Amino acid sequence: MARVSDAKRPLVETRDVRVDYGDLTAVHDLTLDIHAGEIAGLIGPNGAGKTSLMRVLATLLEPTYGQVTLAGIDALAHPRRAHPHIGYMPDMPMVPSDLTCREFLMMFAGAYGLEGDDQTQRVKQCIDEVGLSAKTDAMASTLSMGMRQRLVLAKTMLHKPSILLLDEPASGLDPLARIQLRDTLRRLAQLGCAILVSSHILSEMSDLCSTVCIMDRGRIVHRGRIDDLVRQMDGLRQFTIRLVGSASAAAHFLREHEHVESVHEEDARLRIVFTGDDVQAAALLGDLVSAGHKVISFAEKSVGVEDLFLQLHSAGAANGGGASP
Amino acid sequence: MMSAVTEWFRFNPMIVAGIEARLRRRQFIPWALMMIIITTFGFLLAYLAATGRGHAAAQEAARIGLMPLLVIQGIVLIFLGTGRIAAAMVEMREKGILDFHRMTPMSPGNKIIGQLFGLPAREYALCLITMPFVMFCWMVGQIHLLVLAELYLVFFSSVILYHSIAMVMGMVARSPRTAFVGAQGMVFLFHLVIPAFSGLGFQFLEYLTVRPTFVVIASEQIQGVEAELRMFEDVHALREVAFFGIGLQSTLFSLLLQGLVTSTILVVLHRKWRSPQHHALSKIYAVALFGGFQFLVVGCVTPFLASTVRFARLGEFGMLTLGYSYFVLSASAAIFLIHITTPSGFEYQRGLRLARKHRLPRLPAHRDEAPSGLWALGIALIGAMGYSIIFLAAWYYERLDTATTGARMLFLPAVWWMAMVMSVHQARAWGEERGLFLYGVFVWMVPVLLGILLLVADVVSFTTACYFTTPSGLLAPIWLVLPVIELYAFVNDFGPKHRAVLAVLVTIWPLLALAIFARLNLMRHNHLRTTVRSDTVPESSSSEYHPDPPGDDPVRMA
Repeated sequence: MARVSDAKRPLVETRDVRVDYGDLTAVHDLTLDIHAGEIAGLIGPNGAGKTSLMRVLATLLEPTYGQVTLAGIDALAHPRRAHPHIGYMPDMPMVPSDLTCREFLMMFAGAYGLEGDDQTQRVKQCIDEVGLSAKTDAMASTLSMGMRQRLVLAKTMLHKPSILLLDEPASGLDPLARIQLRDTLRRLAQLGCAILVSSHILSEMSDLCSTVCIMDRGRIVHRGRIDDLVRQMDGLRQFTIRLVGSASAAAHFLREHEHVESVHEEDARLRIVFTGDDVQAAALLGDLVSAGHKVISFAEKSVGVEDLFLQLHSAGAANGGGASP
Repeated sequence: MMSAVTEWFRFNPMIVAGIEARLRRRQFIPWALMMIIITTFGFLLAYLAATGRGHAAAQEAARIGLMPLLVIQGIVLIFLGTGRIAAAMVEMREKGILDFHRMTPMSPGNKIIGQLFGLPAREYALCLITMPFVMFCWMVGQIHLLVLAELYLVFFSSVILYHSIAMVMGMVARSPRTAFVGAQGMVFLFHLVIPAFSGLGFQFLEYLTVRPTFVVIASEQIQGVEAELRMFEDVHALREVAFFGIGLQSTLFSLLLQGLVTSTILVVLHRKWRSPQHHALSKIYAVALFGGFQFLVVGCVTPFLASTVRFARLGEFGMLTLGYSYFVLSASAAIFLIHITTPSGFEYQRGLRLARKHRLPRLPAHRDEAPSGLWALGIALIGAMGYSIIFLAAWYYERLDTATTGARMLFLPAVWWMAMVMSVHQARAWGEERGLFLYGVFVWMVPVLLGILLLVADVVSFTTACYFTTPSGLLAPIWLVLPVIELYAFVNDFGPKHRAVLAVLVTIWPLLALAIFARLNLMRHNHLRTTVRSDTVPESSSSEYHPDPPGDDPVRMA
């Protein structure tokens, strides 16, 4: 696996990267670092600039300006030198209609400089890794969407890149394949890869990524470890309360409580956003029971990436613009 | 350089994949059988027809048999192969597989070679099937090996030329079908339409195909063929290309010309392989290419003008035909080059942002995002020189009549040409494709239509109707040469004074168009500059700035 000599230096560095499409600025003076061993998640709504950023990092799109350094190489000035370090999987992985899986991988293994036994063995290794051994000699065009995705993932890993750029890698995968993908990416991260994963399946990101970047309108509005981000969200605690019978009366009672910010009613269940601490939460439960409401369960819901994103996005919208950092 | 060449000829995984994909037994066998049947039929038809009638000996018949083989090979490689490459390129581009290839560390040259020989692997294999018949012709026909080598050298040179053009078409066409049909249409264009200009003095255009070499060799190798070919071709003229008074052998000229065009296409491919955002050609290369084109034109036209016999073939309106053809070729080339090298408003704005970010007063003039006015001026000047040389040569060889209006009228076409090119450039820079369209419709088409309508309605006289058409570039080349040629039909209507006034008026219109479009362009650029000035741009260090577009390949500068 290609490595930079300076271990402390991020494998992916972008400085002030801007991408314009006519009057639209897709990526706005974006600065981002991803270190070896890091799996960074890129989250954002449609049109946030995720794919543009991915394509810039993959050297497939020239930014208006900015600096992109991949594995210590100025990727804009010397894209060919950076290519052996990059593995890129686009959001709609397509395969040629006239090659088998093996032929497809052999072609790219050859293009990355592998020859002879090394080429054959590496292709077999990657096919096994993505669970496509049974389809080695099948025509790539006959594969299902999920299998094509696995095939392209195998192609992405062929040359053992130190930087993996995966745009919606799990969107077409079945649950088992998703688990395999997660394990594979974790293993590659442990080996020192820097991985950037873009996805709209947010729950998956919190399971997979060590850090997340939340993008909106071409800017990174939040960046950091998921736990740190959760801590940054002042007072954001969610509780789910299950009750016997109708929850309407309890909802009315809760809305009057000083630490309850909002109440969302779902049949016999209530979801509340609570701003108090643990003592105040315990007091709230006591008050609820004392008031005669029959509580079955009172549980704190862990805040996921999805909640973070929605919270940030709605905060941004309330401020009259995108989500603000 | 040598390492790059050896790398090209080393194992190329794209060629291997092409062979695997296109020579699968199940698909290839029916094609191969069909090829064997057609080739056998075509060859035997020619061979047996020659021997069976007792007209020719086996040697002569074998030489005749080579002709249908070349036609079959041409259909397979030039016609089918070209379409296949164009369609496959679009498919790869649409599926994003081209992006995968872009990201491999293979050199762009190696990738182009891989696609050039990998995509039409089946067509090359089918061509190989015909080779035993060629061997038979060679041995029985006792054709000199060098003659055969000469023929196939030009044949494969044109195959590579067409395949390269098909790759470019595949990179720009919207659908595989459009690319397939477009590429095959282009083969027709090169073989049937463009050579038609050859008889008008632009002899070099004919040498973009294998036809001249084929005709010359056929006439030399097969007895009696020359007499038959003479009905359609001037075999003697094809044998030697008159270029600035030097006689160049047809094969050599074909190889030089095709090599030049292929290199240009490869430069385009190289740039587009690197990034689809790049212009097809750099500004420097575009001006140099136009210069080369004018050199070829002038080189071929001046001996044509000198030759009384060849010039006489154009008939009584010879100079008008030649002048107009020259305008069509030069204007097409100039407008095309200006179009592909002029940045769109978005690209210009992008350039402004980049310059602002790096605190530069302006971007280097050769960058894709930089305005192309200076380069368009270069193209206009080169074209004006070409116009002047051709008209001076025509005057020198007494193909023009300057007795009534004077030799100074010879320079009007050059002045008009420069104003026309610059006004088209300003229209393109202002309104992009829409600007070119508006220019074409309102400056070139509408005045002609208006003139025709007024004449048909009997509102104005023929002379006045002609004055209405003077803004149009479609008729301008005719009005411009009126003062210096004899057009017998017009003489009654146009006296020397009218002819001169018409020519001067024709020259004034594009100057007016230039002023209007330049003003519009200036306003638009000012608006874009204001927009960019209102951006917040982060400061950067000068080390981040790359004066040339990104990329680490020396050819990219082209």
